[in-house]
Amino acid sequence: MHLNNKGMTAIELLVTFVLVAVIVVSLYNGVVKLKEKETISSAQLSIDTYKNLITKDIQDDFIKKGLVSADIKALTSEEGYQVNFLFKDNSRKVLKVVQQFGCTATDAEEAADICTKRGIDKNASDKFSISYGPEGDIVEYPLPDLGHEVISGIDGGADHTVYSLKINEVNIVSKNRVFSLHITLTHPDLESDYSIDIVTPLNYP
Amino acid sequence: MKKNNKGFVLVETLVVTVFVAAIFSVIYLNFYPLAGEYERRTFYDDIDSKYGAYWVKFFIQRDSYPNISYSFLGTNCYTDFSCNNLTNSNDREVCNEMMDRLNIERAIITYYQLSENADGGSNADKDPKHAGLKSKADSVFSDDPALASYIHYLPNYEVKSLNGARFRVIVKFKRSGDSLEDEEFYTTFGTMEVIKGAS
Repeated sequence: MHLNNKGMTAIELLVTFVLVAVIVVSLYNGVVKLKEKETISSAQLSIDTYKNLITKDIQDDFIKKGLVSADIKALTSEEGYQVNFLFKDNSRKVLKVVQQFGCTATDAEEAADICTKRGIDKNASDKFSISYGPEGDIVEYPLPDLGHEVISGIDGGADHTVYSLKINEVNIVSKNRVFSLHITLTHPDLESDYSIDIVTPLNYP
Repeated sequence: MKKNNKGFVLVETLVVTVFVAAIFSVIYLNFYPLAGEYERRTFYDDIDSKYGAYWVKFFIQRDSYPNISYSFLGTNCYTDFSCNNLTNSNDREVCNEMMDRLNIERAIITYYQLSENADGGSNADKDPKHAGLKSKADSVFSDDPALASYIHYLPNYEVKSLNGARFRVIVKFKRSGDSLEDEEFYTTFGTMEVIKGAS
């Protein structure tokens, strides 16, 4: 049998390399974009799951038990709000929303400019959480960790952590026989904010 | 044995390339709209819309809302829900406040079954399966294509409600996207069965 053992010429090899290089370069941007899209979709899914879980737990109580009153007050030990719910069956539950912004500055000068002026300690960490449950047995629903940064302590202070996903806005209203809770979650890489919206009539038969 | 080592001629390669390209084009054209459809459907029956629709249903099912019947919906197979139709003034106030805080733009009451065989009118009184909004959605909601699109998305609900519901409420919400750059609005939809009224 006569084998073809001539091999490839230099020009053939060169053309092949050029073609492969063109294909790789043209696909690279697409792959990077798809990767970014996948990361964003995954973050959106985490937030949606978190939002659905909290909404379902609270709304189910409002629908099944019926809300009689909602007593809203500011937290004393940390920044945020606490709402004491009374239901028709005389059971009580508590909702606690902690919204404490940490200091994103990396040096003392920046900390004085962007943190101290806003009343934030220069070594403070972010603290965001939503807790809900019966009095004395509140369950914390930790925000999904969608990226965080550990910042070295300023002026010899402790290292602190700032998270990408933050509770940006808390609006709790109880008036005109309607209770509403609006919590906005924000992430710099996502195009829009996400909100937890719960509305229910108060003391309604 | 003498091997055939002539390879393909240029025309053969071109024909195969064009054929493969044509197949990929057809696949792409058929699958690409599905991605947009999937994204659109994330605004249908989300958890906020479901609970929002529940509270509209709550007020419709209350005694102070007029008893609804097949003839109540008319030949268009639907009627707009309004808190102001509630006979109890307390209910009206709370209902309007709820509608406002839930960001409800529009709520309609229609038949439980959204059958395609709609001819409405007098037949609707006799056989609810003949009453349907689906085939009329584009014409009766020509000013609200998003609502018509949601009605097309919903199933026909051919199987009768296990709870004996004869009607359903379809609710449209106008929500703020709270975009980081500027405020954007988008609409979401939800539906719930309504257990009320005479046949």
